[in-house]
Amino acid sequence: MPRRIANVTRDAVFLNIPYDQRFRALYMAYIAGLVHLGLEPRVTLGIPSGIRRLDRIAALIEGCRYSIHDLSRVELDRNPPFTTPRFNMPFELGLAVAWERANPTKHTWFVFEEKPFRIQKSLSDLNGTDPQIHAGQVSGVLRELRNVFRRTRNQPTVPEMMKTFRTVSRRCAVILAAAGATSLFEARAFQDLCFEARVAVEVSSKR
Amino acid sequence: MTRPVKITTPIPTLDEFGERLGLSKAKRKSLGPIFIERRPQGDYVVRRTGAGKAIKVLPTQKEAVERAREVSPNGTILVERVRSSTRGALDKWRKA
Repeated sequence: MPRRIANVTRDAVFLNIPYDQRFRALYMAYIAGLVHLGLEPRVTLGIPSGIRRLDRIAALIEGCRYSIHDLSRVELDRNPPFTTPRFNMPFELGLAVAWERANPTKHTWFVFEEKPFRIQKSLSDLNGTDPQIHAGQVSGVLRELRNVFRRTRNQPTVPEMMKTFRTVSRRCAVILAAAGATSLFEARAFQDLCFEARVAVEVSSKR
Repeated sequence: MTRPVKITTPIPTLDEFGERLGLSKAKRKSLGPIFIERRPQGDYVVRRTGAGKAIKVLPTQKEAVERAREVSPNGTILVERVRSSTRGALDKWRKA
């Protein structure tokens, strides 16, 4: 039976990022930055279970107007049992590229990287595509998000987005406690983080 | 350099955004900020974002802040500035 294609949400951004503690600050930066730009981040943490994982990821990409693929983690994962690189992120980028080529008006993808020119070695098929270089810094992520997404009115500045990031960072402990979560990389904590970021934007606009 | 995309859709309200995230109404309420405003009568009203009905009306700002903290111990509480100072002017909000 052919798979049903999800409706595209115009403001939704699929975030293809590593879920590890070292990436925590940048994860929050992506959320704070996208929410400040009036966009809705979506991740594979937030999708309902019960369907095959690959179908869920494909449906998520198809349902989002934009996708961001952070290829910062190209190094070997040294956790046992095997020392391997993680292929999930480039694989999901491949899915997004294929979807965009089939439906150019429905999807736009962006590649984010930590180091300049590294992608030319790690993924040379993308030669000719300029990745957004964030240098592993929160301000870099916010700057690059602002570079790729332009609001026609009320485009936030990087310091404004940084303020939202700081507010969300400060509220992490409360978010974790309220969600009963041990990590921010859980569906419930992700939802709360997004909402807290939106609250922070609302509050800063009133002050 | 990547060409930027233009976002023309309006920024969703707090409630719309929470609904899209799949948060329940109760959850949206509990996480949303609480505002304390001074009324022309001189008393203070405690209200949630976008709510017409007040949670409580109290005679002093201090009592209003205490009530807001009881209602939302983890939430953001914003108090209307009632004095012009070097740190902020009237019609602006400060954190409780």
